[in-house]
Amino acid sequence: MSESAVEWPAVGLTLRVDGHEYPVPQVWIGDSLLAVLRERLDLDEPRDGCSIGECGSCLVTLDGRPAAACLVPAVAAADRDVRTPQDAAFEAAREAVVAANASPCGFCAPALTVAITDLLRRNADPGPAAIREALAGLVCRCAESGRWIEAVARAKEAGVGDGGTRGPAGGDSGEMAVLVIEAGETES
Amino acid sequence: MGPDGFGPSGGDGGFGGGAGAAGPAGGHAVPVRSGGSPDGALVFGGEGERPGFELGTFEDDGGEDEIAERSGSAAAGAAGRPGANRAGNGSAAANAPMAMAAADSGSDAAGASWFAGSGTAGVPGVSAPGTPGGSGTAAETTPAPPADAGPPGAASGPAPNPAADQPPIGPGLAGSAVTAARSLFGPQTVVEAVQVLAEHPDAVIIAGGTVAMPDITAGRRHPGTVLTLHRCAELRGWSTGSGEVLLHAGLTLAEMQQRDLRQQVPALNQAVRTVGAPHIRAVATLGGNLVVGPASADLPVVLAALGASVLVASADGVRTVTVSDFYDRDGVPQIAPGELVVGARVPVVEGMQGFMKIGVRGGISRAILSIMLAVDPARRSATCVVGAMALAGLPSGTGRGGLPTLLRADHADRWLAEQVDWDAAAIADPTVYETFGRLVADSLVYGDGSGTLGGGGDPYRRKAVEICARRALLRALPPLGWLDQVRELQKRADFQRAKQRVERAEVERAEQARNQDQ
Repeated sequence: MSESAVEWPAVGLTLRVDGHEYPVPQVWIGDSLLAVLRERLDLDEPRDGCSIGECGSCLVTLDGRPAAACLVPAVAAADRDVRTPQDAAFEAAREAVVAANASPCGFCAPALTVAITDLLRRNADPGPAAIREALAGLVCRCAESGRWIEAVARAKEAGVGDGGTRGPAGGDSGEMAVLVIEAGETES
Repeated sequence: MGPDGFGPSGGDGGFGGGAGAAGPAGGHAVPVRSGGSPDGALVFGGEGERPGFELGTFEDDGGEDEIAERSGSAAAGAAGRPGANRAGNGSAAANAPMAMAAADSGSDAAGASWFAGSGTAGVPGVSAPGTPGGSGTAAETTPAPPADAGPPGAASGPAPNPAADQPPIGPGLAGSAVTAARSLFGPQTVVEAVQVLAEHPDAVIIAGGTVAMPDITAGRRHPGTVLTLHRCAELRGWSTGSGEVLLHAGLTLAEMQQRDLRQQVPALNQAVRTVGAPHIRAVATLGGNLVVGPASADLPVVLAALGASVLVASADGVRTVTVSDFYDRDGVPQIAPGELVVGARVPVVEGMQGFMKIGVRGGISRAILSIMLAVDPARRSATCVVGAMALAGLPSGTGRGGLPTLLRADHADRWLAEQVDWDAAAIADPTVYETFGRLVADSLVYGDGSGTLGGGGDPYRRKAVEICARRALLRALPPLGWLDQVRELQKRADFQRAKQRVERAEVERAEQARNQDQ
């Protein structure tokens, strides 16, 4: 950065979003993926909630892993597979969210579909505690969490996450580190 | 434009073709054991049998040769950089023709895959994220690093500067001029990364983006130069050494939860579960967590209690510093411009590890208190570290006073070590728990009592520290005989359950018999 004037160095890149290639001629190197998706590509399903990664409304997947688009530099997303909530992979979860009325105002509904799909891909049969932990990153709260749990159940019935084995690196499985004590022989 | 769609300058991925576009990682390993033999060296991104560099020798000759060779072999992809190619070839010929010849054999395949821009193929150590090590490729082993390696610290001359000859402006899409050449770097190796940092000490380093991007988006930082680390395969994953694990700086928090690592360092998983949402953990990295420091991060607490050390790379080599020394007493990480945190060495200990955290709400949040207790039965010691505990009202002269930092309760640890029955891994005297909690809380009072660092002056936090330390100790080192009692109780409960099962079966059989009679 020169001392006299503020520079806005830019690069051209091609984003691969939902399987389509979008050339973006000039992107400031500090632009977030969220800004590019919404402002340049007009893909507005990732919502711009807090822009600091706290609210989770801008959830997308990067190479199959969930990521907050506001925290990903656009230049770092260029050689990766970006999936927004508009992608067909989240269709079933979207219907489940609608059916359970899990997002009455709709602002966080796209992010919720991504989070639910990601959870079910990691953990095919999550209990309520695992669901709460997995969805804790979405702080939209005009629905009570019971509807979210119902949405996860409906999405599971719809087959979300079937065959989506992602390996052990996927993240939390809801397991807690507990002290296991061998019971020994029972006399029955 | 390469298949990755990176930018204007041909196939080099659009990352400006500066020093960051130097050759692939073949043979460049960041040494992490100073003065050790190559056999025992932990090598970034490679298997144990890969020959390791000695400390401080990775930046010079071999690197230059590699850069030259790659740019030469893929000149078509590096349009607009003839100056760099010439300079590189000249120096390679002058310096080390042997090494160049060695690099020759493997460079074509590697160069092709590198300039194809996939960012992964042909780069040593690339594997599924989190998989330690990586399967070697032909290009990985060819450039014979030990031949170039000198003794530690003997590196002479400045870091190579291949970007100097480059035109700063390249043709962009639709003929537009794009000043990308000096602004954006996506190095694939640590060597390249520290070279870029040496030239651009003010570059904003982005790995996961959870630290830098909010500032950039809000306008608090205006990056003139960005260094992204997401293509740096050497920084991904973790590797196992003898009695320790080496966590690479690019290890994401989500990867810390995988089973292999959890079994060796269970506290990492405990801490990571409290840190963020799954989508934050999937991108946030160890390096970022360490650099942010204990002001808002939890991993420094864990690593400090485990006696881990941080590896910091710069153009001069790699230095190792313990986590406790990595932060000054205001919690500011001691890292100079041009330095890059490349990993942490964590000793593997057998004993119980417990991490606790109190946040501002029930869900995931930043800590207002975090505490970590690690027990090492082999060395008969316990270490308790309290994090996020500074308050305002520090004595003057402490710099950025009032920021949360790490606090160790050393004398409480020492007192505790004498109270423990180490053979039984238990504590005989039940009053030890409360005393330990009080000692830990007391140890947070700083200095002459006029100023307080940590919880000494805050009744809530003081109480919280006391309780958390007591409970952590209770879980780590139970009272003597407690496990036997639990076993006994469990046996009794199992017996009761079995008895009830038998009785239920009898009742059902009786009912069935009655039904059949009717």
